Amino acid sequence: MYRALFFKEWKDKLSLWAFGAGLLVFALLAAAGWPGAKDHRDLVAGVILVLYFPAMGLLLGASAFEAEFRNDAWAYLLSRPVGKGGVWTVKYLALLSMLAALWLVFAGFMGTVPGLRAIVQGLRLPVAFRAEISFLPWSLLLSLLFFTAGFSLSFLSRKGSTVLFAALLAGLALAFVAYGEATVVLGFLRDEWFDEAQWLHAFRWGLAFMGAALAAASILTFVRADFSQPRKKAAAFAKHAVPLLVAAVLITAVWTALLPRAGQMSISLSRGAGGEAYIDAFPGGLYVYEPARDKVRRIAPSGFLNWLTGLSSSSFNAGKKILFSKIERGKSPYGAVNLWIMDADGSDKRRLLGAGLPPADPRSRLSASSYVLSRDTGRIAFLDEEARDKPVKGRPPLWSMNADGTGLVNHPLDSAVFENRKEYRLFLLPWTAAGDGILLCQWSSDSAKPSKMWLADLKSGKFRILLESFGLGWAIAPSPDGRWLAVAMKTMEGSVPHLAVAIIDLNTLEIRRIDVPGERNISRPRWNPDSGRLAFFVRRESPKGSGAYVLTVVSVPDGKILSAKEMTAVESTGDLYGLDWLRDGNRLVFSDPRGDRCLKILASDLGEEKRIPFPVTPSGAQTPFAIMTSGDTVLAVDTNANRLWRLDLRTERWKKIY
Amino acid sequence: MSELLRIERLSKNFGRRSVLRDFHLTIESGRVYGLLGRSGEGKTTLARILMGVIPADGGTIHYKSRRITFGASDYKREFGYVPEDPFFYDGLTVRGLLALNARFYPRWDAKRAAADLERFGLEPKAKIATLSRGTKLKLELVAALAAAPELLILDDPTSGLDVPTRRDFLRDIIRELAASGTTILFATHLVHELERVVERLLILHGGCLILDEDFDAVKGRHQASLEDIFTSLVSGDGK
Amino acid sequence: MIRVDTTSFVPIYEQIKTEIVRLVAAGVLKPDAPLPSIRDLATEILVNPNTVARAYRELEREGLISTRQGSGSFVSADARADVDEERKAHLGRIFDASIAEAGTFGLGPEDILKLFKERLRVAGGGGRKGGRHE
Repeated sequence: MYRALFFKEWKDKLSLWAFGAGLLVFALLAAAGWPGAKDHRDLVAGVILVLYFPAMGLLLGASAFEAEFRNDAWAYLLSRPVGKGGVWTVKYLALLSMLAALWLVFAGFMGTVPGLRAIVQGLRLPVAFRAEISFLPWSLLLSLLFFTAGFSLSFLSRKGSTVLFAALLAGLALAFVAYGEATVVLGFLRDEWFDEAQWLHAFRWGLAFMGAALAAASILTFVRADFSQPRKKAAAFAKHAVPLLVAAVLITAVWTALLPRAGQMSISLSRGAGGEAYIDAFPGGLYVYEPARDKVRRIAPSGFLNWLTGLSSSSFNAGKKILFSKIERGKSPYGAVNLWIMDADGSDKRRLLGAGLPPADPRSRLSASSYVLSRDTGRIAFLDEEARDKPVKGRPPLWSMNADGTGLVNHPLDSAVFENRKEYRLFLLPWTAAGDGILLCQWSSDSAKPSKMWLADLKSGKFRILLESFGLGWAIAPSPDGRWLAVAMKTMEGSVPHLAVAIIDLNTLEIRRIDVPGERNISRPRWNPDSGRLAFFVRRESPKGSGAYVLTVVSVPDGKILSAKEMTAVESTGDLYGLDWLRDGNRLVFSDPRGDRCLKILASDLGEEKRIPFPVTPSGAQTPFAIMTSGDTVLAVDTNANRLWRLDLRTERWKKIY
Repeated sequence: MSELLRIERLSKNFGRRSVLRDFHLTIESGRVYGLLGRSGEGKTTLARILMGVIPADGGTIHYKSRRITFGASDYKREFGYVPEDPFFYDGLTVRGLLALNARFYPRWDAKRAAADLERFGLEPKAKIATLSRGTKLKLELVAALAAAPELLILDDPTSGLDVPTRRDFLRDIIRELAASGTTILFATHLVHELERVVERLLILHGGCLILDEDFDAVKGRHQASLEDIFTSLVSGDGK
Repeated sequence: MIRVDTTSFVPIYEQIKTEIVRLVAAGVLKPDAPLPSIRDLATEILVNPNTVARAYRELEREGLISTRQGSGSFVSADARADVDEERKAHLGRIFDASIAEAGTFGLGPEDILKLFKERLRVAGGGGRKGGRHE
């Protein structure tokens, strides 16, 4: 008999469904075939998802008891030997199946009409880093929510318009409550970085719980109430709905509060000045890899190194001290970045900048966007975040202080450094060896303008340009022994580009150029452990048009190119993070996650010595396997799953260590 | 005669109006019970409560010694119900409605339904919405009887219909009685049909039964027509 | 054939009984004649079959009819005799009433007899031979 009731629903509402389906097909054809602007097609597809499906859900749900209100057929139905709960459920499922049928029509079109799927999947609203609202699943959820709202209220009134209006209000109100709850619980009750992805997750669950509460109130009322008395029905519904909705709110709050803390949003590797491998897991904390125990040890919570500079080792010094920044609650919703210092083993943490300091201390109002420890770990230079991009009157952005926070000095900045500040970003590079000057990079975001490296003499306050290069930025590497700074350079002579690696002696500030054949750019150079060699990728023009990648090794003392090997384009996607030296200083290892899906060990002539396959198959757009050697191991980060693997080079076995 | 239905202390209010109040009734199987009551005084309410369409506010109902709650539905398989106003889905055809109805009753006799349709001259393909009131009544009866109910509840179904139709209806009831000995609760405010068939007379007034007696005894005692008996009792100056 | 008057104070089953008796007395229902089934009679005169059943039961107890299982009810063979008695008593009552009535008009027994014979002659045209109907 439930089957009979199920199909009866279809027969009753067939005309409504057909109308909806016709409308949908028409709109889909328009979305797929509209000649001309893609924007129009996007608009139609967007309207289908955002407006049509929730509205159809609402209509279908609200029409649930329409046939029963005509002629008092509800008395017929309720006088039959069938459970009222069963009646409600069968109706719900039947109408839900009608909504699902519309979705199937949609899916059918998506699957068969080329281009439509791309349009639909492209409909996304980025909310924040790694959080975005993808229209399709949200449309599904909202259509289900409004359907449930409409259905839950449909037996309360014989006037369709009343039900529609009330259900629309209910749906919007519930969404509003879920929204507020997610914000309150995540924003205030959990004291941590506000993760939009988590917020969306909480919001979704809030909607689901509220919808379920509404449905539960509806079925309870239907089963118990006197159908013939509208006011009593409504009162009974309210009596059921209020406690259930309150319960839903509480359950959502608890559920949200118990959500596992956001998974690591990122893991990156940095080499300490003593050669140790540091793992920066955000927001998990700072870890060091201990080869002896083959384990990672946490040395600081929720910190991240200033990855903007790409010069992680500027924060370390001879393994003695680590300068790091930590995000804490602050004025902006993203928090404030506060500077800390600690010993390399994680002990003796001290706050150097930020709101946690006594308000009278001028350091409490500063935060560092870029920071560097001097070689002897005695002094710190930093750029004030607020003033970095625009000058604060009377307060230039460059500061220095002692490593214990004393001796705060504000250094005047050459106005030339600030020219066209909209086009440049400033960040700090290592101190000079003598500790009296700081290198400062003025990086141009406009590829037509060169970036400049300045030397700021802190004693005299004078600035001079050391280097000018196109694309200065990522391609800067200090040597392990702290003496040199390698800078990948690109200069233009007329319209002819020239590539070179500049070696800056941090003691004497002399600059040596090692010319490198190539036209496009040089990737981040890697020093080998004894600071004698550099390895990097050179991107050259090629007849293929996309450019050729040449892995090049140069010897620093004599400035000669030792070996060069052309790599495939796929292999060279590892140019940023996938290349490192082995302990012997001779051989290289690089990661090829896309092509051969393995680590490749290269001999000193860059010939392939060995291949070691990856433990998992990486996928996705982000750089999958960043690597760093540490002793006889290679650490590799699976940036998609945010896991850290360790490869033992002797046994060639992988182990997941984080 | 066994006790089929026992209603005790039944009460039902609509707003402040108390329609049924401390209502007691015991129905024995195989007999015809006539429930007289003025319009709007609770006959339909009682029928709906018995059929589980609306809940009572208080009291208990036992069918075959088993307690019936608002949520129970199995017992309805043995009940037939012809309401005051026809209440079928108007979008169905005659055949469609009977097919739907059949799914609810395990004892449904499709052959009998078909035979009854023919006897009443009902066109299976006709749309219910197009039928006259009298025809709908016939359909109601067909639907109710084809399920072979133990108890047939008639809630003033013939009011507003012409005399020949009412006669036809009565005839069909009598045929059913003769054939199956169905227990009947016949609620009405029209006394004339009732007089011919009622065995036990019930008069509903002020929310409960002011009379619950065998009809012959009542008639003998009052020596008046049922109409007069009813009028006098309900007007308050009864004997 | 059988009529009941619902407005009468006489219970319906009594009325049915009386009607059947009348029919037997009038010779319309002869001995061993079948009676309509309870169902048929109930449907025809529109009364509760239980009522008909009760009338039949009592008639059977009084010996006027007998029921054979599976075949239905029949007028008893000796129903007539009882009915004759009943009829005589019934007609006697009617004649007594007429005689008394005539007496109030001052008619003596001989006048009554003469009048009676004249009425018989007038009525002789219709009646048993099934002739003209009025």
